[in-house]
Amino acid sequence: MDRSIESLWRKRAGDFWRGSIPYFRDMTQSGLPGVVIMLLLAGLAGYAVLLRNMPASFPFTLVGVIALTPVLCWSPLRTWLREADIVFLVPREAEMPAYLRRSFRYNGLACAALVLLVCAVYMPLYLAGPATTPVLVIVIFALLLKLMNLFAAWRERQLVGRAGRRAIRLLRWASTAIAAGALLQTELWKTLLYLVVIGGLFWLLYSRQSRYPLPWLTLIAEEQVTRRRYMAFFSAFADVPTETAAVRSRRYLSWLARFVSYGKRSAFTYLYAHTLIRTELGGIVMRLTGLGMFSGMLSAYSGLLQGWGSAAVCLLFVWLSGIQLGSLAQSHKHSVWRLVYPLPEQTRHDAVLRVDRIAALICAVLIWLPHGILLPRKGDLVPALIALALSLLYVLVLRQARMKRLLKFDPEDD
Amino acid sequence: MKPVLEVKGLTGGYSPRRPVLHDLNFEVGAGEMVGLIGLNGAGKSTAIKHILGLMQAHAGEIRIGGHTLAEQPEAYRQALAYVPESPLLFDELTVEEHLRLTGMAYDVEEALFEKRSESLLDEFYMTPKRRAFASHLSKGMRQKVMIMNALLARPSLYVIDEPFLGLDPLGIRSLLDKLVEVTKEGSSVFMSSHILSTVESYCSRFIVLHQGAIVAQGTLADVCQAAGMARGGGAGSLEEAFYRLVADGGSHGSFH
Repeated sequence: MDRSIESLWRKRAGDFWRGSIPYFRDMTQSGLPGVVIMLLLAGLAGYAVLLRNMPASFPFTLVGVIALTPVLCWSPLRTWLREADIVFLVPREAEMPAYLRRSFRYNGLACAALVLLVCAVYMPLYLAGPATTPVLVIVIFALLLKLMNLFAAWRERQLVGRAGRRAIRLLRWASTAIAAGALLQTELWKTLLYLVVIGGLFWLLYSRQSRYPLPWLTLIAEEQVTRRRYMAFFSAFADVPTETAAVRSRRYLSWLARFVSYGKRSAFTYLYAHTLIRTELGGIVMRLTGLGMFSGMLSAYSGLLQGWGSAAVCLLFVWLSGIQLGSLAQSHKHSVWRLVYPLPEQTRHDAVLRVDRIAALICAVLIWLPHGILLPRKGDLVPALIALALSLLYVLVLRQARMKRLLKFDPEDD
Repeated sequence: MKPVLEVKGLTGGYSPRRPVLHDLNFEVGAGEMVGLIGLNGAGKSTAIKHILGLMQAHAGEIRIGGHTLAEQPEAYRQALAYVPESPLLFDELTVEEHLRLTGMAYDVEEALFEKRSESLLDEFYMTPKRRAFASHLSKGMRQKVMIMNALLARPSLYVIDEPFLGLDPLGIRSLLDKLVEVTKEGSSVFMSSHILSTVESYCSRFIVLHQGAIVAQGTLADVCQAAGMARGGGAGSLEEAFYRLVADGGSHGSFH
């Protein structure tokens, strides 16, 4: 049997993806790929309209920075490490560089592909504006920035101090955003000079901080978070094994849960409100709503298909956020306390429905807002109103019926 | 007086073909603290799961406050609070939010909840951790949160599985003091533990479980007698009796 560290990496990666295949199948059956393709087509059509009627005041650089910075900075690392590795793999630490090289290659290539994709999408916009640097040079520099970020992200993982790690990451994101802006707007030599200076400064900064040769705990925690994200996503389409929830305090939202009144009937509402706000599910829904608002802004700004395309984009995101919110019904389904608390199962169902309805309504309103503001200015009031009416119909009527079915025909229920 | 917990002819386990528990019969009276003791795998946790209603009995009946779970699920559950062997906390709630959730679930009046939760946080030295999430607590602190939640509910029966695991000496003392206090107020405690000296000091009666059957139950004198020990002048300890009952494969047979 091949016991090399590389074969262990291959086996773990293979196991993860093989284990995910059934969930991908469930996701395909849910119709999500079709919706994504429609969304892409609608986005492309809107983009084409925007390119044809480009206003002179369009913020080319700002949009470029917003589009490029996240893909340049975000540098995940799949290591497949788990808690048990503290016992079983730590003794083989000397062999770990070979193991991690595979992870770097795996994520490095994926990240580079993502950068190329975003560049390919953004470049037509760049060329429609006051393009000062050749596209090929921009792409090469973007890849160079990605490489620098991959290295910097690894150094951050190694840092001993958690607070320092966060502050430096924030600094890296800000510096990269400035670099992206410089790349798109100023002469090349200035960008190059900036990169050399900032690269040197970061080098100095990292070398002065104490660090672990191999940050086991950080890597295990990161892997756990990534797995949870996959599971939170899949749980919208299938019943997935429960992993302990990744929790964020989210003080900017958790104050909302304080509005749940004290009382026996509200106990599960109190729990589910916190579950939604603080777990990965809330994170995904928030990101989806943010993406929906951003897409809405672009499509409504370009008045896609006389506003009807824009309305379709709105409905698609309302539907997508609703689909994702559906996985709230899966939360705490296997909790012992569900059976121990002196609360009838119906109160849990009611709580899921109540929290789901309020969250779906807030998301729908936020997603609709850019359309509601921008479309009437273009004289497309009717598509905006229809989008609102259909969103409300979906949230208040169709989703509720679906959630009730989901809870009612749950074979796990007593 | 009606017992708080009545277990009659309980046979159960994960598979009906291979029962883990065999014809258990015992009672826990009001204001009583009863210790359930047995080796690893004797069936203590399985018995507790049946009492909680997490597992269904193959035969027999369990009543809490005179109700079975099937007849009156809400009254049955309202009457008991559970402290599991491994702390089972909601990752998304802080310590004080757990207390609030329990207060709501057990219908504790809000003013009373505020008062009780403050005093419990204080008594278990958890006030500085009141806003901490479960993942930021040590195992002992997580166990304290479980215990505090059970004590907040003030039910008529506490079902406690290995309460001392991971607790520091101050935590153990606080827990025992609180358990004595609640039994004086009329609540009952049904507790499984391997710390026999503590069980002996605090419990008034004992149930010795071995290979899924009760091999002895009653007061210390009853258990010593079942173990074949002549208990005169305080000679027999629970530990010695337990050793004799289970070390030779339970040769004294099951207790009826």
